[in-house]
This record gives sequence, C-alpha cells and structure tokens, in this order.
Amino acid sequence: MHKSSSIIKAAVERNNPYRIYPESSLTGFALSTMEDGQKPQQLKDKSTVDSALLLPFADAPSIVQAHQKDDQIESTLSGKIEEVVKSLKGQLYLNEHPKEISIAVKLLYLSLTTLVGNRTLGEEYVDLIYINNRGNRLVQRYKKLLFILTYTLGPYLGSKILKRWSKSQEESEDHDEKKMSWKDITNTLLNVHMMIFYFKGAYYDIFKRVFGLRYAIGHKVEDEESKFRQTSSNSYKILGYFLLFQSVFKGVPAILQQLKSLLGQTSKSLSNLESEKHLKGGRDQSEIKGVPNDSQISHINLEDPSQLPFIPSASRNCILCLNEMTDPSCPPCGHLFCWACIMNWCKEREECPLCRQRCLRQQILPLR
Amino acid sequence: MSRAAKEYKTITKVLKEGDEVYSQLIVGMEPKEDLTRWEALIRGPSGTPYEGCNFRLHLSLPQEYPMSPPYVKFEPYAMPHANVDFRTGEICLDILTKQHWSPAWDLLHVVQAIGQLLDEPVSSSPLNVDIANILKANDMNAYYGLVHYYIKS
Ligand SMILES: [Zn+2]
Ligand SMILES: [Zn+2]
Repeated sequence: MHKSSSIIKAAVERNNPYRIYPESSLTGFALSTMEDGQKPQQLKDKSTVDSALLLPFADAPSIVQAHQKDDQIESTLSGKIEEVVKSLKGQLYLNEHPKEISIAVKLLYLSLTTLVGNRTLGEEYVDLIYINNRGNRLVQRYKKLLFILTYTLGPYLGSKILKRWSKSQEESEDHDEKKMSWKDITNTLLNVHMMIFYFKGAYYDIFKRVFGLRYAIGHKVEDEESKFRQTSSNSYKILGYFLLFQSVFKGVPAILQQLKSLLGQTSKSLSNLESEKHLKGGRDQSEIKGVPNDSQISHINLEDPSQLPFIPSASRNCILCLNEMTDPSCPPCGHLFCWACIMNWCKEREECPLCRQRCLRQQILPLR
Repeated sequence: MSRAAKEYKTITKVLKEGDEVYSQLIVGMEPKEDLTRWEALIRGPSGTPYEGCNFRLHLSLPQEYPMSPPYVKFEPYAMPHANVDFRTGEICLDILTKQHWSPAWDLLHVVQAIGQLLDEPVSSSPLNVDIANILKANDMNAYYGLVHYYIKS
C-alpha cells in the first residue's frame, strides 16, 4: 500500500494561532493526543480518514525557506548535469538547449524526491510534508505526478503553444496588442497568486494551488516557536500589501483592456477609444517618476559629424558593435568604444578588447 | 543593425571584391537559416599537406556574441590535424576559448586564424595524437603521408 493513500495521525495544535481548521474537517473527529517528537503514524485503513488528526499548516516563511534551499540544491545538481551533457554532446548543445536542460534537472530532482514519496532536501531542512488542502490526509501520488509534470513542463509548453498560436494569428491585425495583454494577464495572475501566498501562506507555487499540495510542519510546534512564526508571517503580509498596490495600479488596466478587446469585437469603435485610454493610463502609472528615461538623456551619436569633430572619420566606428559610436567612452588605455558596448564587455572580462590592458568598469570615462 | 548583420555585409563585400588576404583562404562563407549559424569553405594553404583540398567549417554564434566567442568546428571525419579532433571536428585554438577571446575579433579573423593553424600546427596541445607525434619527430614525409591517407579515406 502506498504511503500516499495512508493517513497522517498527529497531534492537534489547538493553540496554534494561525492554523485554521475547516469546520467540516473537524466534525466527527476523534481527537487523540500524542507524545512530543513522535512521528506521525500511518494507518493502513482508508475508512479511518475521518478519524485522522491534523498537523499544523506551514507558514509562509518556512515554505519560502524550503523553496530557497531546493533552488540552491537544484542549481548544484544542474551544474553537475551540465558537465555530463557537455562531455557527451559538447558545449554547443548546452548553449542551444538551456531551457530543456533546466526542465530535465527539475524533473529528475522532483522524481527522485517528491514522486517516490521522499521529501526534497529543502522540505527536510525545514521539516515540511505535503498534505491535502483540507489538511487531513497525505497527498495522493497521482496528484504529485500531475504537479511535477505541470510544474516542470507547463510553462515551457505553454509558451511554445502561445508562440505558435500568435504566429498563426500573425495575419490578423492587432496581434501585437493581444500578445502583450496575454503576457500581462499571466503576470497579473501570478501576482495575485503571490499576494494570496503572502497573506495566507498556503501555496507558494501556482501549480501546487491547482492540485492542492499544501505543506504542514512535521513536528509539534511549541508556544515560543509559534510566536516567532507569527511575527515572521506578519512581515510577509507587508510584502502582500506591496504586491496588492502594484497589481492594482498595473494589472487592472491591462485586464480591463483585454476584456474590452474580447467583448469589443461587436462594438469596436467605442471600446477602442476607451481601451486606448486605459492602456495609456497603465503605462503612465507604471513608470517611475524622477528617474530620467532613455529618451531624456542626451546621447552623443557619432553618426552626426558635428559631434566630437576632433575624432577622425576612420576612428568613429565602434569595434564591438561595428556601428558609429553612441556615447564614445574610453578605458585607461585610451581606446574608444560605445559606452554600452565596453561596459557590457567588462562585465565579461575587465580588460580592453583591443590592447588587453586592465580596465575596471569604474575607470571607463564617457567623452563629452 | 546587429553585429552579425554588419559582419554579414562586410563578408559578402570582402568575398565579392576578392580581398587579397581572405580570398586566398576562403572559397565561400555564408549564414545558414539565420545569422547564428554559418558555413565556410576554406582552401588548404599552399606549402602544407592540405594544399589542393577544400575543408568545410561550421560556425555557430552564441546569443552573447561578440561578448562570447563563436563556436567553430570542422566537418567531422574530414580534417586530419594535430589540433583538430578528427572524429568531431572540434578545434583547439586559444582565441576561441572564453579566456582568450576578444570581442574586437570577427568571423573573418576567426577563419583566418584557423587557416593559420593549418599552416602552423601546435604539437604541444594535440587533439590528434598520431599526427602530433609525427610532427614532434619532425618526419615531414610521414606527416604528408598520414594527412593524405586520412584525407583520401
Ligand atoms: Zn559599440
Ligand atoms: Zn586599449
């Protein structure tokens, strides 16, 4: 019999302040107590579901902590796997399939942990276990499988399908606007999801919400610990408020616009005007005030012969982008490049591309 | 205009006008599908066992190009050379490594450097040990013989 179909039996933390027991799941429960440190028993009889006892739901900070640990381990694993792929298929293959490889790493990691019924290292670190959304049973294996598949492959396949779909729509008029707003809608959805997470601390990943994979803390929570957890969850709520404000100002106009463009096909002329207004409103609000944007900065472009006329025409092209220089800038050696080009290269290696003299990014001077 | 597109323009111009340096070496060079994959056909330099034969190069530009070097290899099973893996066509050339690459070089420079490598193999960093050993022994007859044997088979 699978672990997933057996039932957790554990002590109820009645004084745990942020564990809300759904009324329905409490009715008819025979509560029993358990010694500290005792592992949850796994009963083999399915019919005793209703008499199962509950573990406290995990709070936002510990879920985030587990995820961070898992990310860290995934990146170590992915480094190892990239080495293997590189020795088998060469660097080229690695460069061409970064997404596929990261999906394979995630699939491997979750299959070896979550799918076979073990915890991931992050979950073990924080002591979390999966339970269903009512908090009275472990999660069935098929749900874990579905979660793993959608979590790893979902976004990848989704973006591929969307790309193909938008390609086939290419001939129709305003596909650009539509594609933009689809992106906005997914972003808004994710934002709303994160907001709910920060407020309630249930599902960190949206696919876990879909399949009802909730986390519970795998041990008895003492008063002191629970107080500490309470304060740290509160600070997460502040994050939630920030996201809420951001979404209201940014996401709502986008959703309205999308709705209008969907409804507007019948009454186009009127809604077009309005949706345009909404779009503009959304853009204005999303801009940060006080920071000059790109168009406000006066760029020096050497395409214009009157700019920095002392630079001879043979030296006015940037060796990195091969165009006439924009904002010519020089490292200590005196060679000239575009500001963006040389800054970009010095991120790679701190030396002049032409003479290899050492060149720190803070030493690069723009010519004016 | 992107850097690759600029290079494409220069390369077609250089090859059309028959530039002295490059037209001796390069028979043809053009992008495949998009500007991230290129193919070049180069002439074996005179005075080397490669004289009289043409060799195909595959170049692929990473997304960060020119901040990262292009990835270049010969057609597999076609280039017997001390610094080329015969089976895969991979080339051991320092300017193509991340540590030595400079964004000031372009694809023509790269192809030229490979032409130079055909002229002057470096037996100290071999990918083809058989040929490197013969070179170390300085046995020119055996060197020509082995290269010709590989090329013909
Ligand atoms: Zn530039
Ligand atoms: Zn310099």
